[in-house]
Amino acid sequence: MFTCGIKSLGVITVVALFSGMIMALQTGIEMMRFHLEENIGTAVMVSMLREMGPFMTGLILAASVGSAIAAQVGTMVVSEEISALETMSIDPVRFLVMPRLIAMAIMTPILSFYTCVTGVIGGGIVGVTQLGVPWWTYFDNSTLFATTKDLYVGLFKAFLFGIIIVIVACHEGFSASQGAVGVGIATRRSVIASFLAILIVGYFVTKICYI
Amino acid sequence: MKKDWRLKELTVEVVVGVFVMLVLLGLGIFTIVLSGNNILRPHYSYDVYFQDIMGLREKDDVVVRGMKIGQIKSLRLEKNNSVHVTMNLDRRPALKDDCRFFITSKSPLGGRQMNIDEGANAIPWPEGKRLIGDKPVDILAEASEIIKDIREAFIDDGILDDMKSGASDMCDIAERLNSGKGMFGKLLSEDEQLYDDMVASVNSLKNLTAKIESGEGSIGRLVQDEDLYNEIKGLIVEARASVDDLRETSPIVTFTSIFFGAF
Repeated sequence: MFTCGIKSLGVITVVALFSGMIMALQTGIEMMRFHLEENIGTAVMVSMLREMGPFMTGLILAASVGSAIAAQVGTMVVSEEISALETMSIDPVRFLVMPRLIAMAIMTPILSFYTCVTGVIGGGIVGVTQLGVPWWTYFDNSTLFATTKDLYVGLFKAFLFGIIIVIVACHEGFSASQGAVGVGIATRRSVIASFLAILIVGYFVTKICYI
Repeated sequence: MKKDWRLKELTVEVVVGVFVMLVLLGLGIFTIVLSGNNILRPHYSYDVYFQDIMGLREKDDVVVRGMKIGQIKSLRLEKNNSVHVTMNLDRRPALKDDCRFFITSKSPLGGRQMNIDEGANAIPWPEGKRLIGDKPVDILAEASEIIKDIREAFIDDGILDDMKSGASDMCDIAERLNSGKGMFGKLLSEDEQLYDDMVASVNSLKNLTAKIESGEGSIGRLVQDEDLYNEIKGLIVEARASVDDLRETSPIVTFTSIFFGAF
């Protein structure tokens, strides 16, 4: 939990903050043409809660934590540490996969919520400094159209993404062969497969929950 | 060495724990904020029944005299063709016997809000009596209705044909004026002769009027001299009397002439 949660906080903070700022700026510039820039809070909050928060968290964790898991497990496979575990009658899945799975299943929704809040704050900074929207107007409008459903569907998505990242990474790690080259291949394939799975699952969860 | 390792592990666990607790606390606060329920303030729940809510949604504003006092909590379709609207208010409105609940557009871009007119009657609204909302005002529907009426008036009642005919007549008139036909056309055209003739006529009339006013000529004297007027009036009276006499005596004269003519 420390590795996948706290150690990822730095990168997540920067990515979320600037994503929120970019989103607020782009939306605000267009809305300013119609004198509707006060509503950027709504756009940032809804998109962050519904899609951007879980999606960004998933991608960051897939790239950082997922790749690390794949590399770690892959190395253990090619150096026959897994075989040693099996020799000692220790189930490698239970010993290696389950703690990571539980940690990611807990930490991904938590980090996703943290991403949403940071992104909304980033949007607020742009709103106040660049677009002249008062803080309270921004936050008032940001909660106007967002619902608890948006929040919890987003958290559910993040939960699924966490599970997907671990399953894909461990699968690729356990499939590694041919020494260091095989570990590299497993890591690369783990990141690509996680990215694709996050995108596809994200679409279907949105479709199931909103249509 | 072992103590350091345990201390480090404890620190990691504390950091993770604090982080998770903080995020969960934030999540709780966020859930309360998004659900729209302020737990620190008292709430007054009211149920209103509408025939049609015209797209009113949960969390839309409830307004009294232009001021937001709460929001829509839930909407439910009832079996008796009505919609059950529950609203949470921050303060209790002073509802009178003639109070009204109606839904209006929040802005030209969309959105709805519930308005409460507390009423002006002295009698307060009886506790527990069912609140019934007005039929919502749909500006677009009303505008469509007005356009339909205007179209019917213009097309079915013949106003459009009349206007076309009038416009056509105006075009003809304008054409005739432009081509210098008719008196006004000639006046507007560069026909100097007519203008000069009219100016001369006006001048003659002016001279004539001046002469009459100054008492020149027979008409002028007649208008200005009162004695002459009276004399003429008397003369006319006498002439009329003479004609009457003549009329009376003419049969006698005729008869006498015929009688003596026979002999």
